[in-house]
Amino acid sequence: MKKIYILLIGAMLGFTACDSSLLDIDNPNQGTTVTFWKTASDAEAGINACYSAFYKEGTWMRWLSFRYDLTSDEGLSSSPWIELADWTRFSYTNYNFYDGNNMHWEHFYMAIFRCNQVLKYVPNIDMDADKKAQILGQAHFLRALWYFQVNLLWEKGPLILEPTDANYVPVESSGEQIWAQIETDLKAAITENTLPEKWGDADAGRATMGAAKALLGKAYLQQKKYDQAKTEFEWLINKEGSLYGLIDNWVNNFTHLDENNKEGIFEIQFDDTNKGGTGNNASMATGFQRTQFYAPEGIGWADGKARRWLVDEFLKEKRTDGANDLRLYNSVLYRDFIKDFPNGNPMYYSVNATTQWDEKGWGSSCYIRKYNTAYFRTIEDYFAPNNYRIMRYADILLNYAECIVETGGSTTQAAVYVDKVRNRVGLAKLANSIYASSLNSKESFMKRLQMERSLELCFEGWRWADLKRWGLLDNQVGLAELKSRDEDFNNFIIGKHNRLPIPQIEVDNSEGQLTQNPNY
Amino acid sequence: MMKKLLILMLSMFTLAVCAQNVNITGKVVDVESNPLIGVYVKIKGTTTGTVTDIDGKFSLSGERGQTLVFSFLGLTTQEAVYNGTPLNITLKENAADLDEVVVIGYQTIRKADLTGAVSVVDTKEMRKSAAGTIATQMQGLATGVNVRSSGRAGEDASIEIRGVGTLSDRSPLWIVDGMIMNPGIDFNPSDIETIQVLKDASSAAIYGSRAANGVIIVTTKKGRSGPMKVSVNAKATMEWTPRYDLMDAANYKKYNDLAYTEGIANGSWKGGLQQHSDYDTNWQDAVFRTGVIQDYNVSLSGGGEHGGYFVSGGYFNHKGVSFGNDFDRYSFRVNTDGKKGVFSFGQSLAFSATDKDPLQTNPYNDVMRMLPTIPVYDANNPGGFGYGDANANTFGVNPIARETLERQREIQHRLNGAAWFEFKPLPYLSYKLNAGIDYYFWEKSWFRGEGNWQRNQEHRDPEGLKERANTYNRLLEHTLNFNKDFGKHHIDALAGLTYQTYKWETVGGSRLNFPMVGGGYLTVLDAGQSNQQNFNSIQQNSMISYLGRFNYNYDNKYYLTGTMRRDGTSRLSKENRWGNFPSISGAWRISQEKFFNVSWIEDLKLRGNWGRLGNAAIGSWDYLGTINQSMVTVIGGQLVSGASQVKIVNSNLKWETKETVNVGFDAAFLDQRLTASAEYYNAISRDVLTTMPIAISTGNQEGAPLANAASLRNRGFEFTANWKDKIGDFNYGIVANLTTLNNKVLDLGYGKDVYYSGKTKSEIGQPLSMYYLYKTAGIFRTQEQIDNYVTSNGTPILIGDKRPQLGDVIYIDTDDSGSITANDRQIVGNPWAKAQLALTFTGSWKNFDFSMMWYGQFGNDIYNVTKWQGTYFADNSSYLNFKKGQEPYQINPNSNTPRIIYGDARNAYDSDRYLENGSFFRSQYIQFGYTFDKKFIRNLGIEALRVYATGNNLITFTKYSGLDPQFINNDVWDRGTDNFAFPNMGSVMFGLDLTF
Repeated sequence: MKKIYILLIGAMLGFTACDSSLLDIDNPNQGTTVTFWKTASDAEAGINACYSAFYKEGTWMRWLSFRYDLTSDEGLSSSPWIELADWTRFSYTNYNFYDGNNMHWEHFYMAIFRCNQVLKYVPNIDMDADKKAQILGQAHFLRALWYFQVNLLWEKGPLILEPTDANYVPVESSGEQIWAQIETDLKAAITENTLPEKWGDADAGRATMGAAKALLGKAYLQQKKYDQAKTEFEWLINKEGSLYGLIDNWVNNFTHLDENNKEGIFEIQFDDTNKGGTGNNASMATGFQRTQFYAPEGIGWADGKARRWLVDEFLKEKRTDGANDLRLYNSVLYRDFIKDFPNGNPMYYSVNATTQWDEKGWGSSCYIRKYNTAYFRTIEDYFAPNNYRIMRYADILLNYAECIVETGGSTTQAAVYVDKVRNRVGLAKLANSIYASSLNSKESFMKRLQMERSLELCFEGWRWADLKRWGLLDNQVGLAELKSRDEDFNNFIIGKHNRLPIPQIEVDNSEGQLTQNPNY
Repeated sequence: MMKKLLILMLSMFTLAVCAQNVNITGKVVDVESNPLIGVYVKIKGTTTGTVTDIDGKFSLSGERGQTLVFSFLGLTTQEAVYNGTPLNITLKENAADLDEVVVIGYQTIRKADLTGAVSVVDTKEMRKSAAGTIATQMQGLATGVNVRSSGRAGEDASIEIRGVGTLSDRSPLWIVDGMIMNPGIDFNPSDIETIQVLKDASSAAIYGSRAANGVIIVTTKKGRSGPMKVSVNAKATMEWTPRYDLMDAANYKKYNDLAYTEGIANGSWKGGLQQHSDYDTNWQDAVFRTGVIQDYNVSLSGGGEHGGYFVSGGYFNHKGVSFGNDFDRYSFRVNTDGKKGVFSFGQSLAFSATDKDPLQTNPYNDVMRMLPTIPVYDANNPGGFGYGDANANTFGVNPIARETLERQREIQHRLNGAAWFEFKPLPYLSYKLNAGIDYYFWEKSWFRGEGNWQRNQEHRDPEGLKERANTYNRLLEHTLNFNKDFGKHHIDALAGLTYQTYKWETVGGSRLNFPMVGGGYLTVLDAGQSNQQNFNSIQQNSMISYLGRFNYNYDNKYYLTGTMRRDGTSRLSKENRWGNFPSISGAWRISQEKFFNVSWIEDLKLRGNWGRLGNAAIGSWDYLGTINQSMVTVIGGQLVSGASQVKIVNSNLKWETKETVNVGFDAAFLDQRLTASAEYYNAISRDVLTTMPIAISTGNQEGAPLANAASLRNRGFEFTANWKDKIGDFNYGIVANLTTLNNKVLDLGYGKDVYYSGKTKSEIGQPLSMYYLYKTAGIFRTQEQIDNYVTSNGTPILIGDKRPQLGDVIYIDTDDSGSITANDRQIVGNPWAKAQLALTFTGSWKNFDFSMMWYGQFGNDIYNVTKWQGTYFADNSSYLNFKKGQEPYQINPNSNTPRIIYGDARNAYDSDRYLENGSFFRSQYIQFGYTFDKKFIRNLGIEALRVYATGNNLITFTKYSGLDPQFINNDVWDRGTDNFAFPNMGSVMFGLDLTF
């Protein structure tokens, strides 16, 4: 009897003894790093994810414009969020301030991580060689674009060229080392893994050969390697008419009505279909958010505003037809604008913009109108569909003019390219304008070019790089000029505020291999 | 009447069966000499039995010299030998006496035979709490168990056993009637019969990998032999929240204007003063209310010799102290057990339905961020609520607006229970099969209509979301038990095999643009007109365990226990999947030795043990790097999909282990009036699994990866003393629990020697997460002080690129660099309490009873974010009233409060100014009760009736200036920071216990 019981128990245990394969449970939600990066479609999805990185608040989608436009003398922030505004006026207390500092760092390096994955895994994928090269070329271009921003904001940082793991401890590379890598990456996109000069409509928005050349030119220019910069820009200029050119209606550089046109060299493709948050999923937002932050009180947050001197500069010169420069109307919204532009639309979104200044307390503020969506909407939100043009042909023309004079070319020679930009908006050639004397010397030409760039390109994200390159942040004379336009520069300390502090938490946990920027 | 009928039937039954020689008679009473009705009386070793009648008397046929067994629910079973004279038996309450049996996991054991650290929670004390969950009610009732309430209706408290064991998930393992599950908010605490807390490695080792945070074993009530008992209890509680001392509008305007004026003079503010409104809103009055808790329970229980039943139903309703937070629970339970020959079985099954309106806001933040000059309602704003403007500038959330506009409701049905079957072929051998389930069916509906609750909210179309998530948790266990004496040698052993699976799946959808019909929205998803979205995801894991235990004792003097558990989890990679968790313990009951002859010590036991536990309570696939393939980008004007690794993982994650050494003694003195135990513990947690932020430049997103982040040592002493005595009619008892804690980091994840996180620094050899902030030295009161604020070589020190002015905070320039920078931070505080103390007093006199419990924590520092916010003038929020003599420098140059400046944060750096002593000692509860005399209520058919009133958290002694020093911060790297944490509520409860 006992034996039977024992056998019975043994049998019961035996039946149910567990097989350790019961512990093998696959993740049904997502593919794994082990199974991915095998096919051509993996490679294509991989490069698409690199573009997806633009839809993050730390990029031009939202906050990066605060660094470049508002920190510069073109703009200001009078945000009621004091710390946010402080980070546009050289008053940095908490070096971990997420929306002003750490978020940029995070999103740039997130984007670099995605590029690094493509650059590491795609070469091993068995696929069409041309397609592979194009994918790698795009990843090189995008990685260079992000390291460019690292150098503009912090002037140094970790230089990471392969996907890292969680053990990674930040090690700093100098600005020079980062510039060298930017050059290497862009050259790779131009030569080894050649980008196409033009994509088909279905691929509109991808990086092109021209984008890589333009960015490489800008990288050289920023390092004052004018000769090399000039060569790169020349490639684009030689394609004027065939590939690049200035569009007739200047304002359509900032609307969703004429995107990826001949003037656009590289654009962030914004779209208002999705209305989600800025996550990494199928409903993630792909819209432009800055418009909401720059729109005046009652429409948007009025966190970013224009400095008045821009208005005054525009008004100094009439078009050849005697009217005011429409670029002013389309760049800045200011009190009494309707007097300068009698044919202008008094309505701005749902409000009458001619009556708000006293009633709604807009006072003497000047608002940033560039990239507004009032031409087709009555309200703002976080989903504007206008592409953000990171680089456009007009910018390259002006950069090219700078290269000409900096490499010993004549001001007349250089003025040809400035005049293209001026003529398009109805202004006379420099030589025939009230600024004719600017052609008298390289110095006077450069001063004029600096102003021409602001008038054409204000709030397009290049002013901060320009100020750095032109040395205005390096001496008291330059600083005095900036102070005269923007009182925030009273807080500016030369040798300190030329760059942001490195996120403190990153310095803290770097075991001394990433040091804080000087004087912070 | 039913009861009398039952007694009659049982008596007849017993009479019919027994026809023996003598008539054994006697009477059973309780300690207060009240006759006990329905006590089951049985002749040992036979099937003969009866129950006592209405006068506590019994009679049955038997023989002289036979042993009678007297048992009664809730009282200690007694035996007595019949020697011819009527037996007078007094049954005592189930106090913690030496014969008490404790459940230690798959086995029960006499408490006297314990070799590990086990706390038994007095469930009667628990019921004195107003709270609705087991966890909340356990506060202070066991040594080393720290409970912190969530402060929200419909959310459970958090429990920590012996400081921080694991960092990822600090909650202990719960076993309810053999089923591994967290009782949580769905569980009706009044169904509980016993709770045991297994605190050390040897006692918890049988649960191996899951036990690093300790194990709490809950047994629900069973039917006992005897007639049906009906028990009814009802409780009603009023609760209230502690409040901030915030300025009214007049004071707010005064100090706001002062800060703006200073900002203008200082150059940090370019505008003018705010043009204040005439409103004077008390946001705390608007948001906080008196919470009301109603708790009703009915249970029926009883049984015969071969089976028992327990059935209960409960209703619990909690109206939270904050606007927009309510919770309802209906619960139902059936427990039965039975026996047939060598087979026995049992079952417990509970069903609950809960309905929660959760908080969308943190009102403790919001009431401080909203200004008194903002009205609650403002018809000019979309949605109709006030939230400020350029002249009442804040980004605070109007909680009334958000709770109204954003409607969320969560409904959960939960079914859980276990069934067991036991086969005992031999007196010393049994086999048990245990199968358990724990199913949740959760529904969430969320809708946001048009309207705003905060300044600068972007336009958002009406939005709706529905979600359904089901959880299926299943457990299957086989165990074999062996239990035999060989002379003076006693051996019992256990072997087992368990398999548990967990699956969770959510499905949901959302849309935008819901139409308004007749003044209200259609909120069914189909009514949404755009942006149709859906989502679905799954979590799934399983665990296989082999377990064994061997207990040996010789002559009840020498004890030895060895335990082994081998666990395999699907949550770790194949290479790291299996872990072994052994333990060994021994005890020596000196008092049983012949040479031990101390008359006043009844019992003395020395015990010691070593064991290793584990933890892998992480996500199902945290070790697996995944590719996010659902992200999109816009190319060619279309959304196209992209794929990339977004989150970085540690694929080599391994078991977290915890090795503990415990040495202690248990003793009973003076006729068991005094029992005491003392214990030293040294616990080393290795490879603690928690999230540990990694370098941002890795590009990692979607949260820090889990890591084997640190190894920690916790050590300390635990003392428990329990004194019980009576003076005349006055019975009283005192229980004191004292735990000391000393925490030290042994190593850190990723091979780091030091790790910084926001406000804290963790370094090998030091306690975890020490405060690392600027050190201050008061404020500048004289120009001389400013002039002397220079480095060692005379360079003037700058604060934020500027020289300080009178009234500014003096920050210490630690690195002597001439500028206050991040390099000047120092260790300035310790978030770890050095000791916890709980004192419980009970007393009764005639029909009155009294009890109270005090709990305290000592020696820790709290970083008080509410103080920082409430005294932050660089940006707007509501302000804390200044204490007399502590007005800002501009008004009172002798105070310790610096100059207040709008637009300039120089006086509000993260510094030791916000660090406070977190010690406290508080009355957890104070209760008075009255039990009605049986003779008065018996005529009503009532067996017992008690009414009582309890006050919770009425008195707190602390220097901490925030709302409550007893709060929860789940971020282990910042655990001492009170970041607008929800406080514990004060409450008064009235209750009634009725048995018939």
